[in-house]
Amino acid sequence: MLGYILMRLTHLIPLLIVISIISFIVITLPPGDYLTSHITRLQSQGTSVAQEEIERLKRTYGLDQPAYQQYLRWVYRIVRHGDFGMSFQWERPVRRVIGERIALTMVISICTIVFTWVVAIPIGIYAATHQYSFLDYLFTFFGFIGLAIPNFLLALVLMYVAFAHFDLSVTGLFSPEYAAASWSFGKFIDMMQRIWLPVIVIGTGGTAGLIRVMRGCLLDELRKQYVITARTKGLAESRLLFKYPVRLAINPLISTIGWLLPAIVSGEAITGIVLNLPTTGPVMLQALMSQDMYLAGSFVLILSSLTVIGTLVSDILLAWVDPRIRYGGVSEK
Amino acid sequence: MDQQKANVLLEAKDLKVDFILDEGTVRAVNNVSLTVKRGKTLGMIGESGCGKSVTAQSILRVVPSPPGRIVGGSILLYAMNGDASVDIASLDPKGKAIREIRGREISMIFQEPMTSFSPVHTVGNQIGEALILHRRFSSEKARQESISALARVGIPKPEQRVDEYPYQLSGGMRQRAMIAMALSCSPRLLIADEPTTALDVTIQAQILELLRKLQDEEGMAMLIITHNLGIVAEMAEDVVVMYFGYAVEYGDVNQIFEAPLHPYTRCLWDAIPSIDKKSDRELTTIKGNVPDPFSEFAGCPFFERCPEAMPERCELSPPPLVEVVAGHRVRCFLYEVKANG
Repeated sequence: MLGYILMRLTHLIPLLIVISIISFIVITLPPGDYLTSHITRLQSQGTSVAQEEIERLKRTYGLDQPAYQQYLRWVYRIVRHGDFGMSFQWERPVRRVIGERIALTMVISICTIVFTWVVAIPIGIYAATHQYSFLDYLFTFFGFIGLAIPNFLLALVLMYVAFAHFDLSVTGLFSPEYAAASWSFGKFIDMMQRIWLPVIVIGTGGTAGLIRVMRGCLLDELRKQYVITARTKGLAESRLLFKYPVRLAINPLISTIGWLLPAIVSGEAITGIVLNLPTTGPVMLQALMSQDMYLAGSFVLILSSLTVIGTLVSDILLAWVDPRIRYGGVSEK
Repeated sequence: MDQQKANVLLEAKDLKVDFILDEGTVRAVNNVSLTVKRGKTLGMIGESGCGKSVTAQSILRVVPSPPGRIVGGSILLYAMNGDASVDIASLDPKGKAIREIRGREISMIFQEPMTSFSPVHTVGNQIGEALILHRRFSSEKARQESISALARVGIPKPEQRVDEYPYQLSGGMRQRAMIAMALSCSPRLLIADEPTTALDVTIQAQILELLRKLQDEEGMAMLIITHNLGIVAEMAEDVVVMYFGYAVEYGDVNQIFEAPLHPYTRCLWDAIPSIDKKSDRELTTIKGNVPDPFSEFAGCPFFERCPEAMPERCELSPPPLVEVVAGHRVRCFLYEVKANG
């Protein structure tokens, strides 16, 4: 098991290098850079910019150097100092701009994953063991609605309902009095009181999908011979269900963690804007639009790394629960 | 008669199992009666889809349901002294009573040793489970017992194998482990549903040898389901021949092999290739095909394929069960005449 994890970790290094290169290429691909769009903006406002001024800015930001040197400098600083560069637009280090947002995004994401699993797995088990029952059809019906409704629409509807009927303003993650305050227990409670809305909004689609996956996988497993074998040993139905078929049906769900993580982070972007959440999504969109290259690049890098890490986590979990995978990659004997 | 009765372990009477599907009802088991004697082996033969497995599954009440349902008859399991009996057919398939019988009184092994084990639990975990359940063993004691169970079925290095996963064992080893699992609580009846079909011939012989040895040691009865006539000849004391959900012939192994009565049994015997016969001859086959499972017959289901069919008679009403010689019963009109006249 330890050997397997070590092997997977060594695979991670070249992957992360490639990801950083691609992230950098992606953010330098659009024609022009932050300065050109900045200058255009200034000129459109009637301000003329002197050539020397442009040159000076280019030097400060290192934009006069060839791309590969910019890349190497960027990566060196990240590895060496955890410094993701300067955000042109915010005129602050990227780390300061996104630090708290990343943390809050992670909190929302993890809450969403927990919410998704806690809701989807029991419902999926019920639907599979009571196939074609009334509740199975009901869950299927709501599941498809959940899959079909875009997150932002759900957010708007819930906001409207909360505001019109309960006189609640549910945007943002904090009440106004806590928004700028530093962390305290009160602020935490305040966040917990508000976090449910984004969690539901972001999690609905995933929950609906997961219910379908769980139901399908479990139905497959229930028909397998080993279930009958266990039954002929005299095991009670509920114990049998959780020891054998559910255990095997969860495996495919574990492998979805890998893509669940980035999907939630990016799926959160539109919701984040609609609900005015202090998360990464809205900032990332802005950064991309204004060609704030280090900020955008850092986002792409962090999201891609999350994907890779998510996949790694799900693979390790999978190897942990399924011996066939554990012994497949490396022999332990 | 009482003496005879005391030898009976399990008795199915007029068992009927239907599968109610959207396309119609499949009468999988029709009025099947059979007797398993204590410590003896009953061989059940018949082609695929003739209701062999469903009959066996009914005995443990593990017929997939829905769509399967026992619609008639009884399955009596007699207690040690031979008087008291439980009607398995009337038990709740999810209830405690049948769960106490499963794995403790009656165990089952299956055709596919590959899929019969859970791939993510160790062999020892799955063998010890019944012991923990029925004998209230601690998990450590169950593990020790699993090791000796593995040793008893001839698995080398059992103390190492016990912690391995099923896919690390070969097919033959897996079937041995399956047997160890089924016998862990010393059941009185072992149902073997085509135990060697998925194995190659040399392993088949070993597994059958093992089953016989264990039967001698444990004194258990066996119900062996197979379509291999050789296995029945070698293993069984009594034989039941199934066709299209009917038990068409029942008798002891000598009666069935020396003097088969039912035309279907005789056709089966004729179809066995023999070294003595000339080899340029084509294999004898039974004409026609097994009827569609949804079809219903007013008369004998074998009528269309039967070389001795009597038109009108066999076609119109179901053939009676006739006891031609003591203990040798056949479901055919041919013998009704003799019995009456």
